[in-house]
Amino acid sequence: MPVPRQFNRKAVLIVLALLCLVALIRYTVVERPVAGSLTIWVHELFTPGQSGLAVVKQGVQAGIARLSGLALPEQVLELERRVTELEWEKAQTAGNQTEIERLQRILGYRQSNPKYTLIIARVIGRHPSNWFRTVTVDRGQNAGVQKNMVVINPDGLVGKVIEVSSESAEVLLLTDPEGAAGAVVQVSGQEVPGVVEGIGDRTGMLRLRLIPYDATIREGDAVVTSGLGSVFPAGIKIGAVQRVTTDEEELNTLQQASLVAPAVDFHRLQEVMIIQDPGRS
Amino acid sequence: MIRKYLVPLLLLGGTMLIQTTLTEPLRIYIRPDFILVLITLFALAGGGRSGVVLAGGAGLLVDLWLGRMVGMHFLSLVTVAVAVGFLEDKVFKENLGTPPMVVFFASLLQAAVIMIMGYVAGTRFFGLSGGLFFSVAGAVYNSIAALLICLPTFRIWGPKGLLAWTQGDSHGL
Repeated sequence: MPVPRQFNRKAVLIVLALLCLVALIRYTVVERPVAGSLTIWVHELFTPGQSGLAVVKQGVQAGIARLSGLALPEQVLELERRVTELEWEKAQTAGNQTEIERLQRILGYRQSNPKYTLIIARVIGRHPSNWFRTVTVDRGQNAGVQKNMVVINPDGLVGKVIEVSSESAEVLLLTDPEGAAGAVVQVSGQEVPGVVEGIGDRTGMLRLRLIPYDATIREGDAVVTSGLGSVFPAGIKIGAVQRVTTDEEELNTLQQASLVAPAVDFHRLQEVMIIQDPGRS
Repeated sequence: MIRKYLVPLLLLGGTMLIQTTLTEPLRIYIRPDFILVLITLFALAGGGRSGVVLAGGAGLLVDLWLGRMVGMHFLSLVTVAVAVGFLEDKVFKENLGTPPMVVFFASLLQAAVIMIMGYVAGTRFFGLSGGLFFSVAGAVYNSIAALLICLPTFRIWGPKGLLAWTQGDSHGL
């Protein structure tokens, strides 16, 4: 039975479109040559709204956190309303206090690490999809942020800048499956090299790979950046060894691997620091 | 013109802002995907064609957000819109249980397309077990989100409400 011509044409078009899409997806897996200006345009479109919403969200979070631990003493409606008002005022102050403490930690880090020129930025958003681990920060080209700059917080390494618009930047977190950094495990005065990668699973752990087979590493050993490669400077804390395993992808090479618990709490990122000039060290 | 394009555009922009700014991941790194919920509800209420247009726009926006694996979200969301569009006249939309159930299966379908595309693209996206976990946990979370959205607003956005209005059928309002 002959196939209708119209069906043929439609099917061919769909298949061609699918092939083009797959090619585009493959082409943009790591490098982003086609996206550039369009990505920047999308960010510039949403950054003002994100910044505004982020401020409101942080204020509400601080207020709720404070209020949730308090019980109202009176059940009289008028008094209850008044108490609530006062609690809100108090919560605002407490929220401000928390923010002040957070910023003090950042400033403390800045003063104790004068070798870095740091740009302080606020996290204003996350990638819309669950499948990528990136955050948007409210500092961009106008503040001197550039692609591949390293992002840290007082706890350790956060990730690196992968896209910059005039007023915001997109940061690839270390926990993203595409996130990776040269690392060393500090074992009683010695340094064992390896590579830390994001796993992207529900645990939020990192995988340390390519550890020499004869190295002895233990649970709790500190993992810091090695400084090898052109992006991450040496000595930034990444986390601590959680569990030593065999490297399933490198079984033939007899190398070890381990799971690393990140030093940074990636769920609670609010302020970060972008290293503008690691070369001054 | 306004009801056909401006309202969906504003809905998409608002949802995108909420999705990127206000949703916080649980400890297991799962967030509700309000964009998927919006597209599913839109396609369910208004049919596949309008759902596909919105899904295409949303997919492009999400893809261009990062500029990585461009086309992946476009393809997955359009697939969801087409599939839900097929269901549009086959399910009893007025039942409050229908949208969460459709959102659940739409989430699984989207996750399947993304995992297949990740595999085809050769990226070490997630392992099979990690991907399955994300798919099912995300689907459950999305369907709960859909139910929570539908409960108070079903009359506003539902088949005889705002979405019908954007399709040119104003008798619901």
